[in-house]
Amino acid sequence: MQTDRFHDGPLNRPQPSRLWVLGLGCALLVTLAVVTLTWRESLLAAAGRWMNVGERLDHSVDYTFVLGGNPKTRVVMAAALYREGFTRRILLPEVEVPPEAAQGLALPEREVARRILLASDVPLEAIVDVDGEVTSTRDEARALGRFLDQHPEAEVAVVTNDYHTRRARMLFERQVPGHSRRLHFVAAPTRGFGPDNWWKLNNGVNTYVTEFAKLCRDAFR
Amino acid sequence: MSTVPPPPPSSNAPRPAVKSRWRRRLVLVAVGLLLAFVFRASILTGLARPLVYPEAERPADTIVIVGGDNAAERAARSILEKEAARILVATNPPTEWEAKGILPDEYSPMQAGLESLGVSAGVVEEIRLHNVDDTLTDALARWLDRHPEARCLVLCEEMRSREVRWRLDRTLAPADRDRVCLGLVVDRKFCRSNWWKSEEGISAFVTGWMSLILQATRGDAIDEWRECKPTDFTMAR
Repeated sequence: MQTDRFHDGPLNRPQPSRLWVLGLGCALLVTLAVVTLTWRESLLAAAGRWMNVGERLDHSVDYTFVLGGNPKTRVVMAAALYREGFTRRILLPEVEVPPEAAQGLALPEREVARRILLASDVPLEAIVDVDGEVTSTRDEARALGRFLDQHPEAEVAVVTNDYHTRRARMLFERQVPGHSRRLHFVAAPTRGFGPDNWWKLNNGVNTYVTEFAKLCRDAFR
Repeated sequence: MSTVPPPPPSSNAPRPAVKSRWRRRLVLVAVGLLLAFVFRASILTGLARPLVYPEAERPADTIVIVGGDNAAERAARSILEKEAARILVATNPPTEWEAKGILPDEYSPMQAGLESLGVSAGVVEEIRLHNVDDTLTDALARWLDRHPEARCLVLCEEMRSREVRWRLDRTLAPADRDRVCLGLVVDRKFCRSNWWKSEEGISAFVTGWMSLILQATRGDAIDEWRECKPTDFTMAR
């Protein structure tokens, strides 16, 4: 009598050999490595673009909040928004004064921002200091939250560098959930590199890698 | 009397051998996890070890500050104890704000900072980078060409030392590599044997590894530094 060896029930099925499974695993790993290496540039550029969630403003907002760090790009972007009529006032957080600035060896960041704004034709009366010392993006979100509690109708553009917009948006949405609908995130360009070539420049690698690490850290906090 | 034959075993029930194999595997995983927990300090320290380039410091007349939160103090100490005669600080080219005098230049605060540590202005020398991405190692290579007798001690944070040494070896002429040695600076908040206990340490570990891998795998695909144009700062369509 002929028996169908494939329909004898699960117990009699031939077991896949371990070597076969190992071979399949290795083949998958090699394929993954080849795909990653072949499309490395596209994958890295896609990762860079994914970090940027900046939006183009199509209407005027009441305030523009400039996040601390990189004032030579972020503040310049805020000044451009003011000059082009997209914002009426610019909010500057009280960024922690580093020891060298406290010793008079460097300018506090808020002073740097103020000087750039004034030199960019933003009048002094359009510059508003936001109280509360900040040391991180999370602190800045809290500081803006307190400001918005006092100005509940205000619409705000938050300016930061392109690679930082995703993490900033995530933290602001968590810290100021009641106001997040009235926040717009605007990306300032970064000096020297952008999402499409960051891995080709030393500063780009340092900046993006640090930002990816911080994004992972903040996502699980 | 007829006897009823026992029902055949269910085909879905796992065989005892399979069950015991899985039990064995679970025990092995549990033991592995327990060992990993018990020896976590050694394992985590071991993971950071490749980031550190173990190099014995050699006498040098020039101190170069690359990084590390107390590198300036260390450099100042070397000068005050007459171990070195000169400190090199790298500065970026001035932006339009510095060129117009709206913001102070980079060099003056650095020099003032070292002076506040007791270092006289005459021993601090500026090396100007061509652009913000022109690394200190490139600038150092040019400086060494002009100073053929100089021997340098490059101060950098220990978990970036492998990357710095790798960059130095790629950039410097073979004859110059022996003229430069690394001085490892340990951060006040973390080191290779406790990096997982602080946020700064975790950040340095992750960044150190990712940076090292990216630098090592990108080959010579280096792009030109792109300075922002005024048209980059606009919302106008």
